Amino acid sequence: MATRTLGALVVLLLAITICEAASVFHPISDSHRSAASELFTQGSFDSLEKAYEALRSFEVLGIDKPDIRGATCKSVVEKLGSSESAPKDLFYALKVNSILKCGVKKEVLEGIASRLKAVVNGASSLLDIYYSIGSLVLIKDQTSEVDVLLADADGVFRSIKSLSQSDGRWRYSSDNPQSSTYAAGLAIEALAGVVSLASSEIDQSMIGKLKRDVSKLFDSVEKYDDGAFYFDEKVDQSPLSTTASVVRGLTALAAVTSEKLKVPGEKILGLAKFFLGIGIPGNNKDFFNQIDSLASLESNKVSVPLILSLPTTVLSLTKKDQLKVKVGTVLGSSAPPLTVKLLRAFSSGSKDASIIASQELKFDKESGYHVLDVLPKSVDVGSYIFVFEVVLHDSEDETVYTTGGLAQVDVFVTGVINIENAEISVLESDKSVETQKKLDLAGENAVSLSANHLQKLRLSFQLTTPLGHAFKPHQVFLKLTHETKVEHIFVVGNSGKKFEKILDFLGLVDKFYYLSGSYDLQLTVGDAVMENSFLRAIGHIDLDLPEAPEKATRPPSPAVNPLLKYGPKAEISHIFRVPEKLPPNHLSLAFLGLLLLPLIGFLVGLLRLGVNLKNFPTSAVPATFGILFHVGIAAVLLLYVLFWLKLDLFTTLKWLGLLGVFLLFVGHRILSHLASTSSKLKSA
Amino acid sequence: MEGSETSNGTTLRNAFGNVLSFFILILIGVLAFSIRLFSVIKYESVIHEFDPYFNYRVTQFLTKNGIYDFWNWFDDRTWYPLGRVIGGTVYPGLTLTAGTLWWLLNSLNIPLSVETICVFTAPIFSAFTSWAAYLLTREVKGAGAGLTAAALIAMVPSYISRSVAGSYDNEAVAIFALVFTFYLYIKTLNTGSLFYATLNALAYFYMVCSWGGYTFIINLIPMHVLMCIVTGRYSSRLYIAYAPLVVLGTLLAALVPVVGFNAVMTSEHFASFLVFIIIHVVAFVHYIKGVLAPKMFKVAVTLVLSIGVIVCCAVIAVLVALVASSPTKGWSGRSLSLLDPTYASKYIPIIASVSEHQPPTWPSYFMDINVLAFLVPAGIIACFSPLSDASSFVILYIVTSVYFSGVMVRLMLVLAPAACITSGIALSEAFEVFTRSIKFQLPGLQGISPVKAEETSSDSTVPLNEVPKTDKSGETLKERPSRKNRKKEKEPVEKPSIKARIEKKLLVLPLEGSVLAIFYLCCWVPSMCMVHCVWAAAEAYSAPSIVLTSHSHDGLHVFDDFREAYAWLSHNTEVDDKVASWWDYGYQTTAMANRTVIVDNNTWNNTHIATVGTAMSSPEKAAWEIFNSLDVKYVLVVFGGLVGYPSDDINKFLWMVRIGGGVFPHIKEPDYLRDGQYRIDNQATPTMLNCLMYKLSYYRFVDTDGKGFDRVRRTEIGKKHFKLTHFEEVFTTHHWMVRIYKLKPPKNRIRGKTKKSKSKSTSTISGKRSGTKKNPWN
Amino acid sequence: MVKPSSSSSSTSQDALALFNSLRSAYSATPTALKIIDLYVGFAVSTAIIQVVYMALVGSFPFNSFLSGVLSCIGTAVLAVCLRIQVNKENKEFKDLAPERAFADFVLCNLVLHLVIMNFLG
Repeated sequence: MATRTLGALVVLLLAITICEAASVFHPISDSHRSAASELFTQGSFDSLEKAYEALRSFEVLGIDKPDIRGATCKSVVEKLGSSESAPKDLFYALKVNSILKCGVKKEVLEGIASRLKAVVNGASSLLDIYYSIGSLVLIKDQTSEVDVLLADADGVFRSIKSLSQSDGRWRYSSDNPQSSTYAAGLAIEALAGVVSLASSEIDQSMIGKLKRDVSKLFDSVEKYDDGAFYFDEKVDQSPLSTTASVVRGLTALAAVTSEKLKVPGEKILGLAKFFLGIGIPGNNKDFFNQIDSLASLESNKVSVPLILSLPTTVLSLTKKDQLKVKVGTVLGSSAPPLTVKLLRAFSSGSKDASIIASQELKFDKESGYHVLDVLPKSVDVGSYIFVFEVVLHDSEDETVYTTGGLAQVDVFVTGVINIENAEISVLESDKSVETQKKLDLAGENAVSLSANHLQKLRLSFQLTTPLGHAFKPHQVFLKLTHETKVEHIFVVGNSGKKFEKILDFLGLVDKFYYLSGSYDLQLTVGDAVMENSFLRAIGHIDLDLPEAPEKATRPPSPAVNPLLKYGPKAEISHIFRVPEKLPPNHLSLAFLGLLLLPLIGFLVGLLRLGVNLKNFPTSAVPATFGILFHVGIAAVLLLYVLFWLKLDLFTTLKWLGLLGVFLLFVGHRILSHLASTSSKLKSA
Repeated sequence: MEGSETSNGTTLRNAFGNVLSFFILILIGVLAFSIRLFSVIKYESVIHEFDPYFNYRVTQFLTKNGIYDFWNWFDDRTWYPLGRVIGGTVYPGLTLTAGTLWWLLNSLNIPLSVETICVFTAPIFSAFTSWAAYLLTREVKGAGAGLTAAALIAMVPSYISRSVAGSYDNEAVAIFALVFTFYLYIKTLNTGSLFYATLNALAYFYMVCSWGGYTFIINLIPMHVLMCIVTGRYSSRLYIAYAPLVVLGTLLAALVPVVGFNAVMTSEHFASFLVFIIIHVVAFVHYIKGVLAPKMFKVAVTLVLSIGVIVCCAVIAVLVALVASSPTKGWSGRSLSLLDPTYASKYIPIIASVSEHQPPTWPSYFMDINVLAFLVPAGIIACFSPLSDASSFVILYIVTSVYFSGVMVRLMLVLAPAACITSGIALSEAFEVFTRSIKFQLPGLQGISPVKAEETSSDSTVPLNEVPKTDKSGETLKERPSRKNRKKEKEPVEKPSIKARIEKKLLVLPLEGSVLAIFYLCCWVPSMCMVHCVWAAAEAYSAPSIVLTSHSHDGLHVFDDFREAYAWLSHNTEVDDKVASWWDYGYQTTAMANRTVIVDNNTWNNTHIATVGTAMSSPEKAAWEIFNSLDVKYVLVVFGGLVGYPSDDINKFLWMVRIGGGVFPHIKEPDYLRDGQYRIDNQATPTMLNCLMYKLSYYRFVDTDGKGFDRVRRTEIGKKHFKLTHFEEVFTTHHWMVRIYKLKPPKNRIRGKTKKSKSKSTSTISGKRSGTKKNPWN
Repeated sequence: MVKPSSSSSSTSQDALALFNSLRSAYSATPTALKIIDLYVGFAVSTAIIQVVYMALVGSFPFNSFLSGVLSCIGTAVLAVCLRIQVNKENKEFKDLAPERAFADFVLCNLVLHLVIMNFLG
């Protein structure tokens, strides 16, 4: 358990050390491609919007599209053909069309164009205008012979511009006051479309206004501490989609305007870092936004960000790793000729003087890396911040690319820490050594010591870096484990190179719960940059501690195994009633026979008494009734037997009713006849 | 005067009297039915209090799924997680009766809803009861007394209180079964025919199906038999009346699942077996006496008696052994509390907690059987002259039922028929005396009273009807014996006619006195009684505690909060959610909201109820844990503090504490009482102020009026402003009478988030935070 | 007639006289009643045998045991009732025709055995 916590601690510390300070951004790589091909499955082509996102991502990443052209084109054509499809559908249909090139007839496009122009002139909501303008732009790109030029470009421009707010953000429509950055991105893109569609030149004053809006918008950009910039939306849009829309708008505007937009390069670079820093998003929308905006950043007219990345930031002194740096665009294509300088390097703890002189990395053609083959001797084990500078060779690249000036990367330099004169010893109370054992912490040891509560235990060793400096790992723990799994962990403090821990058992008896017996000793020395971190058992010590006073705290119960606690419970075994024991068969049968005896006795008695049928009616009619009466009774008894065997109550009662009526009738007849005869007899 | 009349005149008058009494009976039935409709008229046709809702639900199930599914119906909607086997634990008589009615009507194409049937079952059966009472009393003391008794029982308040339209409870049919069983017993006793004995057993079977009170019969009849034997009134009719009843009755009772083998195992029934043996011994003795010569008999008696005594001793020893071996001495708690009135309050708080198990107060006697209370002694005296088997039975019945009613309020119900019968006897006897004396004073006036009979019997109010009726009773009482004599020689019934002749010589009262007395008896007393009964039926006993009304200066207020709350539950909660409340509301919740409850009014599991009581009287967190362990989603409390509804959970709370403390000793009643008295104002104990029931009842109560004044307890509540941490209020009805709370889900410990949600969170956070933020993405 | 005979074996002279007088008295009873008595004896002895069986092997199918014994006792009781009713000496039932009594007896038996069958399970 303790080891697990230690491990967790190590991981945590590593994570912190990585996260703090400047971190490295890697350009789009094959991991994205594989992720894309498993993210956009067949299911993600059912709507045209999704289809477009998938296709666009594939296009950017240079993956050959799956074979969905037929189906998608079919839906594209019918969307475009149908006269009542909304501008949004048309927009995405055209976008898919622009990728898949499914031949759409020019008449269709003309019809759409005319409809869309009507929409544009009539529309009040930003989204309609955005989709229509976008569609028109797409038509313009796809065919030259359809007339898509807007007659009243200025009017449209103003109508869009009228939705802008003072802080550079936009409203979705004139009647909702909610202003959003996402809408700003859309609006800028739409305006760019208008500019490109304008039959006549838009007057520059409005474009100037627009550019001021853009710069205002970029004032509201938010910043992470690693130099990543992003736009945030308070409502209903994730930062990613918001930033993506702004980037699209920006690039579109930059594409159509003659002179450069004045957006500081480090913000562009920050945006690029933001997109790259996301890693690989989990769902299609985010993935598309990331890839699409990175693609548009890749080829934007403002300034193309160049990303400086290191294949590895962990350099081992023992393996003599070289420092490699790669500079490329966001999509990983190679950069123009440039040189990378390593300006300074200082240990991340102290921001003070650099430990190495500034030097240039030499460019290696075939691998495309800038390499510093040997680290300077002054670099010792530890974590450092290297500061690079990227210098473009020819000056007009400066206008095209942005490198963001200096780039800070923190680098871990690992090495083997050598451990010297480690020893463990048991001291008397007066510091005189009682027993002393040398330890070889590199290998296995099994020392066995014994001490009583008046003595002390001392553990000491030295840690030095390859350059002979003192080295202080993150964790130096000494753990004592009793047989009853009671653990005690002590931090081993250091003075300079020397690490020492003295356990004074006299003061610790209470902490040890007065548990005598053998304790296992375990030493943990670990650090991120220490290549030979270890967690090692170094034997055991037998303590004999005084008896526990009654008020002493009881040792804690050993921690339960979480598997037992949260694992499957034991199955409940149901207890059923034990079947009653039945008597042996022959006994029952014997009693059955016994039961027959009274019956026999009864019959015999009847014979002896001479059962008389003399008042059984002699004449025909009553006799039949008499017979019927007895038959009826017999039938009822038979019915009872049936009821016992199979029938249910209600059928029985039904039959019983019938039989009862019959029985009543005949019984009444016979009995009344008998009564009359007997009365006659009496009278006579 | 019989002498003066010709025989055909007598027969004519008999026929006339029979027809008249028949019509009077019809009228009495109508009266009995209609006087119970006040609740429908004043409120609506709705099932009343708590148990009727369960019966209603069971009836619905029966009519929907048929009898066989009903017998083995395991109800998982109640007593969660235990569930309850309904078919084996209910007295099915009422349900089957209503189900049969419904089935009959529907097969006759009279489409009535099950609820309507259930609402009107009780009045219908009260009409039957009055007829049964007529038959019984006629068997005892002639038709006149019968009619009087029928008229009285049709409107005796204590019976009305249990059988108004809508109170669809076992007693509704059980009282009919009780009286009818007694009638058949008496009938068998008088005629001594096996046919009536069979019917008697069947009626007893119906009684066993209907009500747990059948033990009253199976103990009362043996007592009567024993009394007859001891007082030397043994006759073979007694044997025929009793022996088949015991055998058949025991078998039939064992057929009812809820009784089962208890019919022979528990000691409520042992008395009957003992008497069964005794009567056989006695019968045998009589037989021997019949066949032997007296001197030989002397010898025989010694032998037979010695053997018989030995046998009896052996049997008694066996019985005692059985009783001693069985826990609680073989008597169920309720029966024990009958014998020892203090038993329940001492040992079984659940039984004691039901208000109708408390001993009654004197006013309640006057309230429930007002005039009858004074007529009963007279009736007893009348029964003694002459003392026949039947009248002795009535005496026994009234005495025992008076005792039982003194033990439990709800047994007032058993007292009511007895009181009616005796007082009916008393009235008719007295009336006979007076009329006869009048006739003797002025023979010329003979024609008057029949005439008065005609013109008064035309209108339908009962007390006036008693005039002709009792007048008839004068004759019928004198006719019946003669007819009986013609039918069969019967010494005990021979007596009254002779006695009557003697009386006629003795009892001659002065004219004015008797006239006044007749007037008083036949108009004043009954009309007073009538007025009281109608008032009771209209005002006191016809409130269906599910809808409440209150008259105030600005008119009538209707509080329909219960149904509001149950409707809310049924519409806004999941089908299999568990609702916890005090057990009073269990039946209603299952029936109206169709939600699973933890405990309900069938209090068969003390521990389970104690668990809920403990939860209600624990602090919030502990209560939450208990409820959560029971998988409870909602907690329902009834709170009358706003509108002054007195029977709410706070007033019942002490019982929760007692019942809970009975099982879980860490709940102690003194913790909730400030020096012995129960209070919820600022003097209340902290335990009281922190318990769940207090919090759920008074949560946000102070918001209603500034200071949180409880209209029931007439005080300001102790703790006014507090928050609930583990419960959240989800619904409170219009008048705050029902408040429903939902258990908050337990806190999350792991905060797992996907990348997307993380981006959302950071975006929301970043709005507030200023300056540089850590990039969440890596 | 079991008890006096059994007791007579144990007791003295007058018991014997009693026994003789009993027998003489009993021999006077009409045959029909004798048949009924025989029937009663049959039923009672059957019941006794069943009780003995129960005492030996325990009363596991309790309902079967109950129905068995109670049916015997029931028939016995009913027969006794019948005997009482048709007895000529019994003056209470002069006007009750023996046929009527027999009809009641049959009805009662039918009901009893319906219940028995139902309870037998």
